[in-house]
Order: sequence, then C-alpha cells, then structure tokens
Amino acid sequence: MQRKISTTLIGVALLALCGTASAQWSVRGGLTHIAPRSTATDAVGPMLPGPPSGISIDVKNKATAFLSLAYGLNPNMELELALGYPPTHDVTARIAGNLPPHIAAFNGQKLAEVRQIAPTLFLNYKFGDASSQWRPFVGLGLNYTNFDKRKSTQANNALNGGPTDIRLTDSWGLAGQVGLSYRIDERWSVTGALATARVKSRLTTTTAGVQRNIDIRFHPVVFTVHLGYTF
Amino acid sequence: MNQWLGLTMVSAAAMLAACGGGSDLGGGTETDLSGARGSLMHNPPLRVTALSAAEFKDRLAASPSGQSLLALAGAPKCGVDVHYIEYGTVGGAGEKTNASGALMVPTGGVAGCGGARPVVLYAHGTTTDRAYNIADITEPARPGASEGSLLAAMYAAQGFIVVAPNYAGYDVSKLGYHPYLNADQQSKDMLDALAAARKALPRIGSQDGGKLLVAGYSQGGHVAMATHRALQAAGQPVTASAPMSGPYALGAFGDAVYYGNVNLGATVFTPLLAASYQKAYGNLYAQPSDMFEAAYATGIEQLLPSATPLATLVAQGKLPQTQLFSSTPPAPAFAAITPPTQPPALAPLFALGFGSNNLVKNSARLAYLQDAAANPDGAVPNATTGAQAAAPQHPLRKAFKANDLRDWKPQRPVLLCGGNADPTVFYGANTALMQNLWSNPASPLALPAGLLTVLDVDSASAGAADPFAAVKAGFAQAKAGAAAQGGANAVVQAYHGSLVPPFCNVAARAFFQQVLASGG
Repeated sequence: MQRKISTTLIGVALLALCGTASAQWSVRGGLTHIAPRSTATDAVGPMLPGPPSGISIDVKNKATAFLSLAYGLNPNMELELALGYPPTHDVTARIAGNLPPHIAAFNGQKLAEVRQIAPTLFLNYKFGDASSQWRPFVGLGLNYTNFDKRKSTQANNALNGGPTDIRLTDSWGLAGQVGLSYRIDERWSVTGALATARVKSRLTTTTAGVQRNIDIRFHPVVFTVHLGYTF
Repeated sequence: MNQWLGLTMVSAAAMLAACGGGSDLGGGTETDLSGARGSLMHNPPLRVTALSAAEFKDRLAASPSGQSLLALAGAPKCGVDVHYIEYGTVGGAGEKTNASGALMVPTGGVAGCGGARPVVLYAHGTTTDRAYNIADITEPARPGASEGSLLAAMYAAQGFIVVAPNYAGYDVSKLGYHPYLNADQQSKDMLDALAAARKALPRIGSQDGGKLLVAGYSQGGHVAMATHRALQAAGQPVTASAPMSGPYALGAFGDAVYYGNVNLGATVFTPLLAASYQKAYGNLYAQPSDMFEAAYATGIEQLLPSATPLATLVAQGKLPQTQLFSSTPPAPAFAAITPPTQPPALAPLFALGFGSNNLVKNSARLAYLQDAAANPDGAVPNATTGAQAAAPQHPLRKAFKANDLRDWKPQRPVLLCGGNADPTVFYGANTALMQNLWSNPASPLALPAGLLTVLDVDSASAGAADPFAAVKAGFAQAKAGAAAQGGANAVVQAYHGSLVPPFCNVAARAFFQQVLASGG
C-alpha cells in the first residue's frame, strides 16, 4: 500500500515537472536531523489503569540521509520532492508517577522502534535570482507519512502483557520550510533548511487480541543541510 | 529528462522501498480462532498485571477493603501474574460461542510459589454487569475487581493457580444472554476455561501440579458443584471441591420462593433464570408476557446482564426493586402465603417480595403452585424424602429439576460453606438439604464418613477442636461490625454478598490445603 502511494506521489511530481519546457532539474543530497517533538495521548483500551491510564510515549530524535529532487518552474519557483533514507525512531515510555511501581518502572524505557517513510512535496519560492550568491527560500507543501516498520521491545511486551503488534495509521498534512542556499557555482550549491509538517497518527497495539490506542501529534523540526547539483 | 536523472528517480524510489515493512512483535503468539470448546484464542494470553508479593501487599494495605482482605487471607507469600484468557465454549442450547476469564499464577522465588502448583477452578457469583471481567483487577471500581482481588489474595498469592471464567454472556463473549444456573452449560464453560488455561500454562512459565480444586460462591457455588459432578461423570481427576452459598437444590429453592419465601435479589434472579431456561429448553412460555407483567415483559429476555447499572434499570422501571409477586393472592387458597407471615423473623423479608408493581404474573405463579402441590418436592413445603419432585409438569419446575444437584454422590471431599441466615440463597433449602441427603444414613445418597464437611460460618464455635473456630469468630465480628454501623437491615443487605464470601473462601482454602496435605 505505502509503496503504491509513494510511487504515485513520485509519478505526480514527474507529471507536474514535465509540463514546462524551460525547466531545470536539481538533485540534492545531504543530512537531515528530525526532532519529532511528539505529543501523545494516554493509552486507551481494556484493562489499563485509569482513565486516564497515565501510560504514554515519546518519539525520539533521529538523523538520516537526505535526498530531494527539484524542478524549477521559473527562476523563483520550484517543485521539490524531499525524500531521504527512512529513519527509524526510538519510542520510549512516558509513565505517570502515581502508577504502581511495577508500571512506573517502565518510565523512559525503549518500547519500540518505528521506521517512517515521509515523502514531502514542496512548492518553494526562492528570493533573488539565479545569479544571487545567497538565496533564501520558503516552501509550502504536502507531507505523507507512513510508518512501515515497527518493532516491539521486550520492555514494551512486558508493559503491554505479551508479544505486541504495533501499527500506526498513515498521515497526510501540510508542510512548510524556510531555508538559505549558497551558490558555489553554476551547478553546485549548498543549502540549509528548516522544515515542519502536520503529522497525526493513531498508534494501535494488539497484545493477545487486546487492542489499545494512543493518538500522536508530531510537531517536527527537521533541519537539513544538503549539497545540490543543477543540470 | 536525461538518463542520469531517470536513474536518480529510480534509486530514490528504491530508497523509499528499501526494506520490507511490517511489524515485529518481539515474540511469538499463537492464535486459535476455531472457537472449538476449550480452545485458547491467544497464547500466551494477555498478562493484565504482574504484582510482586510485596507490591500486592502494599496495594491491599492501601484501602480499607484491602486491609480486611489482607487480615483474612494473610500476607501474600507469592507474587501474582494475572492473565486474561479468551476461549471457545458453548451456550445454553449447545451453540458455539466464546468467553473470557482470568488465569492467575503465583510467582516469585519463595518455596511453594514456583514450579508445579495445584489449580483452583473458581466460579463467580451472580452479576448483572455485562462488562464483568474478573481478570481486570487494575482499578478497584471495575466490575470484577473485587472478586478478582479476593481470588488473587486468597489463592494465587498463597501458591494456587487460579482459573476463573467470566462465563458465556459476559465481557467479550458474543453470546447474547447468560446461561444462568444451567448446570450442563456452566460446567462445560468451567471445563473449557480450564482446558484453555492449561494450554497457556507452559507459555507463561507455570505448571499444572495435577491437583484440581473446584470452588465457587453463590451462583458459582451451584456451578462449582455441577462442575465437580461433570468431572466425576467424565472420569476426570478432581481433588476436592468447595461450593459456597449456592442454590444446589434448585427445585426446592424455586418452590420455596413461589410458596412466598421470596429471597433478596429475586427480581434479578428470575429474569436471568427465565432467559437462560427459555434459550435452553424453549418451553417456558410462548412469549415473555405469559410469565412477566406487561410493564416488564418487553425486552426482559435481553435485559440482563446489562451495561446499565442495576439501580438505573430499577429507576427506569425496567425491573421492580424487590416485588416479585403480586400482593393479591393468585387464588384464595394461597392467601396465607401472599405474603407468608411465618416464621416471624423472616416475614419482613418475604413481605418485600410482594406488591402491586410485581414482576411475575399471578397466573404464572398460580400454575407453578398448582404443579408444586400436585407434584411436590421432597423438601418444600414439607420435608419428606428431601429428594427432587418425581415428575413436575410445569416447565419452570422441570427446568429447575434438570439443574437441581440432588442427584449425585461425590467421590472426592466436598466442603459446603454458607451462613444459616442467608437472605439471598437460603441455607436450609440448599446447604442443609444437601448435607442431610449426603449424611443421613437413611438417604440413598449418603456418603462415606469423612467425605463431606459442612461449615455454617454463622454458628457457634465447637471449641478448641473446631477447625473453623477462627473463621466463625471472624464472621461473628464482621457481622457485629455491620450491625453496629447500619443495624439489622445492613446485616441483611451485606450478608450474602459481602459478609460471608471472604470467610467461606478462607475456610475453602484451609480445606483444600488440608486435603492436599493428606495426600489428596
């Protein structure tokens, strides 16, 4: 499913790109640091304390390789499809202090690893012109996030009460970025960008047939440094 | 688009799709959704909570009810893991269904907590709460938490594995009614829970020691005895049983109620029984309004168990609080039992069962009473043989007979425990009646000496030699405490549901330990 959507997205991007004759292609590679800055509800479901259950999670930061393709529509506008090597984030327990010791003991422990695939299509506006040394830009876009790989740790299984299947729903949401490019020469440039997106997901754990849910909102701060090559 | 770019696009897509996705559970789970009797749906089953002995003790010590339980059950010797099992079983008409329950295992390095342990198979008492889950002791206010905590403290924390079904029709069970006091179905439900639990034990680090002890309280007392009977009939090993405060002699008990000895809770038990037996036998009535007054007949078969609290159902006019029968006699001959005035001590209790907002139609009561007079029970209204009615004709009396347990002789030790002033499940028509049938030398069901132990917790101690002296003293103290707080009425209200259960369970545990110690 997620692959189909990703492929479709790339296809849409390509279609959008092929329309304009005077276009310029760029490919960019670099490093990105993702601070998900998640806020999550307390877990809801059968045989939990509460409500509120006092059992929640945090999603940890992760750095990964960055890759994007950009297509210049005109000297100031470009479409950019930001990809990257799918990062795997650690998910840790956030447990209310008033819970019994055998539950509170899990606080801070790693419960899961989740890998996200989050292609984002931006429409960027670049200030200045092609010959400017420094070009600030702003971008508005659409983010799709899919959590394609989830791994439950022994701590999570102990907390949930058995081997636990973890699923997170896909998210579609607006994205935005600001950045600054430095032109090295006609072909090469180096760029720093700060991006964010609206990402919402419902996490469902299934342990021996019993399902519990946590709703997560991400307020990510994504900092990227990359080197770009324009054809 | 040049080739280089195309390559980049392909590799970008490849990057996205780099590795296979999916979920890694961090352990294996077996799933059996066949619904076959005794199948365990998820193995290992969910562990609801894992309490160390010290933590369990602290938890009990934190509340007044926990403190009294701690005082009675003793400090936990073992930790307790509470698991939630879901299993396949059958309904009252033999239809395939599912049910859930608790599997508690003792834990910890202390001797008598790990390794192979004896199993207590426990049947819970009547509840109107559809969401009853005896495995959910997470919060004290949950419907099964009180009885679940009692089991954990009394048995699991002292080294017993506990298997306790919620019964078909409760919690996640898909059955739309509960086969209440259906001896055949309920014993199957118990044995299916046991079979499922036994499948789980190796996966949760526990081991069945091969000793099976069957216990239950109130409705569960009947279920426990029916289960002991079913195990024996099937030639399966059982070590001992302790039915407590149960309606064992349903025919006698039912007749007593229709003769006007209306018990506390009758307006709840009657719809549960009617729905159960109508589903199982299909002949109780053509429509519910044949049995129930028009004000209550609509939807009464689906009323209980309910997600709505009982008090709300009463407030909504779905059930009368206590008025089972009309205060108008169904026929002039029955004026003296509408309501009965004898014995004087019980007359006020019986009077509560009569009024103008009655649940059961006079025509239904009359038909029942006429059959009871024509085909009398051996114990009610007059004690003759003590045996079941030979050939009842009324469908409800037939159903009671089909589920009356005055038809067997246990071959393994039995403790019958109760309190003689029980206003809900009458002691005389049930416990004392079984005692007489099983111990009177003239009875065809008389047991060999030593097989039957009967404990009336509400009786005077027989002195230092009385093995239950401490239990009786404790009960007397609790009863006096309730009386001091709320008077005689408070004692009546608390007697069956709160006062007797912990003391009978303490006695049951001591009885089981003694049977095990003597090589049982």
